[in-house]
Amino acid sequence: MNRRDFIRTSVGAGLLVSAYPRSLFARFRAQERRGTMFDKIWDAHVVANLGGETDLLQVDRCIGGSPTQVMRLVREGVELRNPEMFYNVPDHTVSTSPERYDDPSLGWGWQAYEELAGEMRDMGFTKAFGQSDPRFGIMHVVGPETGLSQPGMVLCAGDSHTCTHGAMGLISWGGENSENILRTGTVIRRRPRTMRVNIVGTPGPGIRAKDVILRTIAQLGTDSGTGYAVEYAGPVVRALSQEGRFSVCNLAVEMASPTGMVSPDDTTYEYLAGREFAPSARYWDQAVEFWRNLPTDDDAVFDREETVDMTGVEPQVTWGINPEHAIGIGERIPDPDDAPPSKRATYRQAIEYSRLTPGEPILGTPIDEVFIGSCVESRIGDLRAAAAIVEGRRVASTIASAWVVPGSNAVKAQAEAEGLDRIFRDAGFEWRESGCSKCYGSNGDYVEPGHRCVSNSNRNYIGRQGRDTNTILASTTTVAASAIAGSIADVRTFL
Amino acid sequence: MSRHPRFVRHTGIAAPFRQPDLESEFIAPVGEELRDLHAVHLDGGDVRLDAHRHDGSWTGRHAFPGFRYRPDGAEDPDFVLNREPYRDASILLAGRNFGQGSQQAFAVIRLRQCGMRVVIAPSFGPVFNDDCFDFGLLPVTLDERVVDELADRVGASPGIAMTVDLARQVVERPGMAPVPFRIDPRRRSSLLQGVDTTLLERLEHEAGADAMRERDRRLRPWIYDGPDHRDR
Repeated sequence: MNRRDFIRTSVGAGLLVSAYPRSLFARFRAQERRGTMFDKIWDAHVVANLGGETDLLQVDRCIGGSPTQVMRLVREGVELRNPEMFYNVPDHTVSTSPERYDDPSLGWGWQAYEELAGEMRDMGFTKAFGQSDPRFGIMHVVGPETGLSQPGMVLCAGDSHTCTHGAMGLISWGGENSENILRTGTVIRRRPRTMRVNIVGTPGPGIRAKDVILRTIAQLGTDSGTGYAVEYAGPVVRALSQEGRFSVCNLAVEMASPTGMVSPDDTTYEYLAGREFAPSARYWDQAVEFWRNLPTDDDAVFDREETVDMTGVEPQVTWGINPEHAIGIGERIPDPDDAPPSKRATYRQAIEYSRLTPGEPILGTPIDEVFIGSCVESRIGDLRAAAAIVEGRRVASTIASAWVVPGSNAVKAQAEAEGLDRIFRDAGFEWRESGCSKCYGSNGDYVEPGHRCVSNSNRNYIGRQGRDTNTILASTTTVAASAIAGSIADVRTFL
Repeated sequence: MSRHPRFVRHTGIAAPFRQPDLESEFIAPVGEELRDLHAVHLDGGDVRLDAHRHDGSWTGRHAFPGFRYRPDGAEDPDFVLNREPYRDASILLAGRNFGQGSQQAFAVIRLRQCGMRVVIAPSFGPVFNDDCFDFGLLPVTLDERVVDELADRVGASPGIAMTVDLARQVVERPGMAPVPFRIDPRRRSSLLQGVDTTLLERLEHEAGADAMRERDRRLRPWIYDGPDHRDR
């Protein structure tokens, strides 16, 4: 008798239950779970324990199942399951040029996508949104914005910034190949440990969610989340708008946690209400009642707790080559010789690559390009905040390129209805179509070699925005202020 | 069904290329790949992993084109894989967080196409790491100091081959104690058997998953309640 046959017998099952009580017993108490939000959602999705800390989980949403992948599997005769759980947007590969709808040479393969997406929709995979679909946009903007991402779900995708969706009060992670999810509707996953980051204090003027998470990563380090699912909590997170919470969770993976979360509350439900794929009126009250049981209970115990105090923290900007290299706008570029020994080599490499001078203030560092967009902060509230900074002002003449790339076609339409596009254009910005764009330079949109770009995106790795380019990460409003100043600027002087 | 590449043991030349946080984009620019999407992934059916040796002619693409070639198209002699004996390298000693980014499958396919069978690094981008197994490229995670030491030894005598043994979970090189490595047991068994055991394991629980989804449809009808369903 092999191991699997053995555990199907009552003796084997008994042993299994005694060995792994948490995940198995919890399934029979669906309505009365207590503990952390993570544990409640995880336990409710366990199909089977596969030994040790590894579980087979039901998947509620998957961003994946691209037309090519679906076609290939169908051609192989594979039976695909639960097509309603999938959605797909070719966000990484489209051009954001306004000519993209007419010029097939822009972006990569969008015509093929449109063609195949039609076939895919005929098979029941109805949520394949090409670049001209009103629901098209960056996948991590589209999911919440269309109501596909809802509290209490398990959501997987290939893209590493899938952690963004956790701000809805769900478990999400990237790095998942969707092929086996297409086949089975399930995923095998080792249960991570839980960490709560309590963000406290009184943020000063000009501080946005992006500053909160950059500060958090600078304090805790880029490796701090390894092996953990992180819940961001505390009064500062509670006070954030739903959009701000997306920004915070978006950078969870930059502290090495594939999963970031915020407990849902009325802010979340208000954000979700009325969206296309949100629960219909028929189920809305039932859904909200269900969701109210999800937040972490007061007596819940995390494997690790950290506290970040935002009192007195200045707007954050990065000087180096990973998001941990964030400092306050009034601080000086650090000297690698003064760095902790374990970080000295990276600091040296960062200084060499960024061509910045240790000891100099970061404020006033000259920049060549400006980018506002990406799955961090490209939602309507972010664009409104940036427009408020640039209104009636002009992008500095020394800036070679200043782009605003809305996170989705819906955000773009809303911004245009409010006249934000005109404010940006009048100030000298280029107003683009939606997509991932220059956040990572490989869809035809990239930062020119040798240029330094101040960007509201999430990664400042070597070459991220294009070969030999240097990225300074900051909040959307700091980026907007820097565009006007022509150099890294303190947004507080623009308020 | 559930075809899977096989990997048991490999011996070959190792090349050090230790740039940290190297994006998958710089291994295989996604733009070039997607222009041929039909050819690579649909019309051709199978992805060609042995492209460089097929009929003695090169039918694939080189990895790291931005490092390998200068802007004028000439080979950059400073790039490690353009130098002897590393031209024939099949084991890459890479930097931490290797292959991070968003389009890793292309990167893995290209590395296979230019002859790579193993990448040894202190850490990998999580998606890249998973995709490696799907295309039979073995990702070996070792402590940064150990990778440094391997790179030093390779630098001192580049022509001596290295062996990576998945069955015994060791990296070996003459004159050096075998270096053990750890790897996900499911991934290991899939590669050793040439069968996607993680898929088989999931299919084994198919009935349970179906029953659970049926219960879930009653417990949380709203997550299955898209506009598609409302019309029915």
